[in-house]
Amino acid sequence: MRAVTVRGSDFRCYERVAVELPPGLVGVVGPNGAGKTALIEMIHFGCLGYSPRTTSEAQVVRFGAELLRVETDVAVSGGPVSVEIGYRPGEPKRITVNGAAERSVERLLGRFPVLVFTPDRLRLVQGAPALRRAYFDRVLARLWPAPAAASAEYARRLSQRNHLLRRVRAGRAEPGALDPWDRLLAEAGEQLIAARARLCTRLAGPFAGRLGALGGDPGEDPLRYRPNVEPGRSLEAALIERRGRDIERAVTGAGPHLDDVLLFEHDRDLRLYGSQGEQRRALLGLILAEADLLSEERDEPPLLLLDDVTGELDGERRRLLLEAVAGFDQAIVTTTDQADLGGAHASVLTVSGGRVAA
Amino acid sequence: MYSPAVENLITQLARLPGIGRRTAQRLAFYILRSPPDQALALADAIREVKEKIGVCEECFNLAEGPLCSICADARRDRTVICVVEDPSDVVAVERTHEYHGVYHVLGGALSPIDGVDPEHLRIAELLRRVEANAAVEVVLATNPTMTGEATAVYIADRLRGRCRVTRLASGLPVGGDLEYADEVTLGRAFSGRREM
Ligand SMILES: Nc1ncnc2c1ncn2[C@@H]1O[C@H](COP(=O)(O)OP(=O)(O)O)[C@@H](O)[C@H]1O
Ligand SMILES: [Mg+2]
Ligand SMILES: [Zn+2]
Repeated sequence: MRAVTVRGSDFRCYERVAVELPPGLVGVVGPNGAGKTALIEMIHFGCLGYSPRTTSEAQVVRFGAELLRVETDVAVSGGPVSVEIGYRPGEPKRITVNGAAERSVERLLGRFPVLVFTPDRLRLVQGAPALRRAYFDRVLARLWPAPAAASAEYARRLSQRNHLLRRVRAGRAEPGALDPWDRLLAEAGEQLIAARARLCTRLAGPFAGRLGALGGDPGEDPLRYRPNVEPGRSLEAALIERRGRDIERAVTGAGPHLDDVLLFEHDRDLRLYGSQGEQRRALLGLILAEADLLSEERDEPPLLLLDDVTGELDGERRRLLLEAVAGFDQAIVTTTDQADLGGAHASVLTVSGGRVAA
Repeated sequence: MYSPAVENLITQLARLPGIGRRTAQRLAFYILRSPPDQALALADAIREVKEKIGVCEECFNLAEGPLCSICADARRDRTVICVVEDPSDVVAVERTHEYHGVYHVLGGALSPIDGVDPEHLRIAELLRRVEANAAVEVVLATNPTMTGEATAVYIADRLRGRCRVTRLASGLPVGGDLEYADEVTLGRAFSGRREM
């Protein structure tokens, strides 16, 4: 997939902008504060309907403006598609795909393989397990929609069971009322555990490869799925066994909502012991591994958006990275210093003061 | 603020499911503008169903007397009981013409979030009926939704060893309502029911 043109109004620092995006490696070059990250964010928003940087999306509307619009023409394996998105904070987004209204933002995720690295996403490596679960479930949703549905279903069943635990603790319901919820929760939970285990198995090879190519030391097993209940074990049995304690605490204490996925270099857990540089490298490796798996499963290389990746890499690693991303239909890479693009064959867009020039 | 009478009408309408305050206002103004006999016909219709229609003593379906038309029909097989969530599901199953037993209307489905526990449904009554009718089969036809599934699992556990317990075959749209399934699909789900 690649983006062909993006037109935006009132998006971050861009009052009105129209950018032609060439295929292959595209450098977005400009000084700090010029609008490089905003351009990456706009392309992402234009394809997938949400910002990869922030959860308070009202921030992306230009100061003083009430609403923004982004229109993006992309080329996917099925042919050209144009996506138009209008957004006024507090209202549902207006999305059309080739002119037809699209109500669900999530559906864009399944339709357009766009992957993004921004330094904001470092939280994925540094932060709480919930962030990693959400990330891996999103990857699942893109790759295998059917098993991925287990994640949402599991969450619904879990909240029913937790409510019931509270009622049982308060003496307002019988413990026997938990029976069907144990079974239903276990059924969705085991599907989710199996799907995550399969995903981690499939990602492990590409992740080790990418990490090594970026100068890391992946060791034996850099991607470690840590399920709270092992795949193949009965989750229902685990729930029944814990029932007494669960009632006391009124929360469900076993199941995939307590899973984590650890990122390792050699025998160091990068969340706890990684340097900032190692954590960035792991995030980049993970995103490239996701790109590999997505290319393989969908027969179409994704569009890569890479913000501030070159800065911290030394010359050799930078060369390897640029070589690696050259295999994609399009990779849009920001940098303050055009020299960072080295000898790589790249088209350059120059950004300054809310304007973009070829 | 409207006059108390208008305000009261809006409040009463807004209590109906799926009706918010805005819609309630629109309906209230429509009623205010409509001719008196048309508006009063609505009031009469409401009064009439509340006076005439009650709940069947046997199966909790809607009934114009102590028994619903199905329980009052001597040709129906009382040893087969089809368990549904709501009276509208009885209508849906009847449309298939595949079923000749009787029904049991639970009055909803288990949903802890909404505060619906087993004792809020007519499950104890079902267990008593299974004994009293010497039932040979209970067909669990709760909706193919999370709450319908949980209800079926709960009841199946309690009936195990007492009689044959079956569940409608999959093929019904998951997450959907029995009520909206067409009669061919529902008929097929009925004849393909499986042991639970
Ligand atoms: N909602 C907004 N409205 C107007 N300007 C904004 C908004 N959000 C950020 N900016 C400004 O946009 C400029 C570009 O930011 P950014 O894209 O992050 O620059 P960089 O090129 O360093 O990546 C900054 O000066 C920033 O203050
Ligand atoms: Mg930036
Ligand atoms: Zn009856």
